[in-house]
Amino acid sequence: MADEILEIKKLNKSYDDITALSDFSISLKKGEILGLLGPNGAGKTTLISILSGTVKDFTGSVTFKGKNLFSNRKLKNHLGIVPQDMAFYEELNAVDNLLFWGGLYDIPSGKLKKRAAELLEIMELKERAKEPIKNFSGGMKRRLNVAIGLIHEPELLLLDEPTVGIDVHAKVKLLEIIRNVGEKGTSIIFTTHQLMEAEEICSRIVIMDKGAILANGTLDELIKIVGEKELVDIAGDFPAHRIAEILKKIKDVDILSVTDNLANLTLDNTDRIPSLLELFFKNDIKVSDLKIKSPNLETVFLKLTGRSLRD
Amino acid sequence: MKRILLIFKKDLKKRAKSPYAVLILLFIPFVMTSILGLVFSPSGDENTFPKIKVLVVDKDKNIASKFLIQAFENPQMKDMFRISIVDETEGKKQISKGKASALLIIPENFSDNILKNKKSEFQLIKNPSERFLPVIVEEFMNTFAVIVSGFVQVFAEEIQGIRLLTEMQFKDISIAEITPFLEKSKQKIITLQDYLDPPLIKLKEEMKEKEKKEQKQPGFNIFAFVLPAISIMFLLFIIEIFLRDILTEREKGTLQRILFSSIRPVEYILAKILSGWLMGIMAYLIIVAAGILIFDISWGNYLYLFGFIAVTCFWIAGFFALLNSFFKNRNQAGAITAPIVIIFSAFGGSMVQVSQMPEAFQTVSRFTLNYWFITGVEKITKGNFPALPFLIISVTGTVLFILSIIFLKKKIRV
Repeated sequence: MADEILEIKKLNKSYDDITALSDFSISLKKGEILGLLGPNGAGKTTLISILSGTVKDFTGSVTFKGKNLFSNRKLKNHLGIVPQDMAFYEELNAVDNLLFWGGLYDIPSGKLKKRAAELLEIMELKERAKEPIKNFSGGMKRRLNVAIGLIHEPELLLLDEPTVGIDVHAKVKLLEIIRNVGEKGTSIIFTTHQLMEAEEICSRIVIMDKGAILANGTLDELIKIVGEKELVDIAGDFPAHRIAEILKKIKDVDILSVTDNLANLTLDNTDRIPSLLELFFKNDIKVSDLKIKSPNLETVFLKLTGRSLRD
Repeated sequence: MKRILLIFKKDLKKRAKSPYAVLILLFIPFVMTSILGLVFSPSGDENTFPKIKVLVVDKDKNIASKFLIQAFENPQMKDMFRISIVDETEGKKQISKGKASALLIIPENFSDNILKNKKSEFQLIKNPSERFLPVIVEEFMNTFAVIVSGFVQVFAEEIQGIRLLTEMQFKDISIAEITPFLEKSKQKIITLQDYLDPPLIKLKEEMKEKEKKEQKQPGFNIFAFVLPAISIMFLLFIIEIFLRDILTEREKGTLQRILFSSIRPVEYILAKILSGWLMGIMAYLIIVAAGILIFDISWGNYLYLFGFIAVTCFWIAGFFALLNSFFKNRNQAGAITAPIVIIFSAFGGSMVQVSQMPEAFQTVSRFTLNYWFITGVEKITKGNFPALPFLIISVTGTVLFILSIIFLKKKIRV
């Protein structure tokens, strides 16, 4: 399609017997923020590594603006990366880091200095630009990490779990910055295992697990997978098989997952909960906690994988 | 090229912010050189050869033994030898404790035997813990023996006459009796003079006048011997730090980020080798300068020296770049490279002179950089171009460089 900036077709990558990516295919439009959601080991970082060129020996194709991404080194000047690790030099200050990383992209010196100043302003690092980075807080380091990815004004930005290890306040600030970057026209691939982040800023979400895509769509489209049903979490003292037997007999209940002492299900109508509790009582099922949630990505993930994203 | 220089400048800046490791590695050779130099250099004027202590047991106490002792004390020999007259027991005690280089025992009747044209034997006991100084004493005694033997042969008759005279009382000596002997001696001396003066072989002695600025005469400077040997070991450590940075960057993720740009892997590798190479040259130039200022070392031809240092640092950078392509991480690199450097240094002459080692070790030493570097610097300080060391280091260095590019390219990709 005309406005597609990135197209990935049938990527496959294995490490010995472990499948990291299996027939992975997605496309990204200009200005779109695509969230890659999945647990640890889903293949998110492998995908980023392939796109960044550090992993070879895979099958499939990746095109950027219609051209093979790996055939033309110059195309890399249009891509930016924000790795999960704090990949900068702590011995240097923020300005020196930005000037070095920008220098790798052949940006003229004057333009580079101007761009560095601009980014320091956006990231609220201007006051401490000349200080050694080792004195920065976690949130400041993460913002600098993102600034380095943006120094050369890439058309496509790869963000690999950019908010890991920072507090809520810092996270909110960083997500806002990322959203603004997207609004200015930069296409973004954003990997995370935090549902809230994906819901907050992504225009489209891909749910993946064990190297494969489980679902691909907007938040509303994904939620429709589980229907309009409420998610009910039941915790107590009961064996898994006992509660599963009971729930299977009830209409309009979709069991998402059942383990000893915890059951996740969806209900068409939460008015049915009192009758459900009565049934549990009659069958000697001890319930200690019950939570009702509106459909969200967690529900979708549970439905698709049978387990929580945090597992 | 621009990106290679960008990475080099970044590495330099990084190191400047945290220079302690490099500074310590630069500082240690000077400390070690100072200690070793002061321990092994002679007291007094450091530019003169150490005086050889010789103990003399004079059992003769007569004209010939006095002549021998005086020979040790003549102006030329006095600079080389320091003799002490001792009794035999004391002399043997001191030699066994290593307090002298040699013990010379002049036998009884030495003078008498010479006068009677009989054979006589010195006893020379050498200090077994010294290799060179006792040999010099031995050579001196051999030369003395040859001279005396020659003199005795030539003036046999005259000596006979002298012997008779010494047996007589002065009042019994008549001029008429000694005149023939004097006449004969006179003739022999006149004949010999034609051969002895002017001498066919002359020892040229030059005493340079001290210049106003107190320029010392070039002599044996122990620091000039020790500093190159020790500093090559630390140069290996210094350059290794820069090349190990490849593994550090790989672990920290900055390498992947760098390779994400349009830079080629080979450009990155070249930048790292360049960093190690140039920093090594700079470090060694500091060592050279400090050697001149602190230890008064004369390095010889500075153009040769600079070229030789450059090619040596190139070798080291290539060597550690190649090694790092086999290490899993920087901790492994640190653990393995240190023993490698120490082994190179031990066999190569940085700790013990190669000539002092057993023959098998001397063969092994030729496979170390240290050996060729020390040999090369030695030649340069003598004003010669170190052709063979230069050739060996540059050829093997080029091979290491090429191999490092090949293997590192594979290493920095998964």
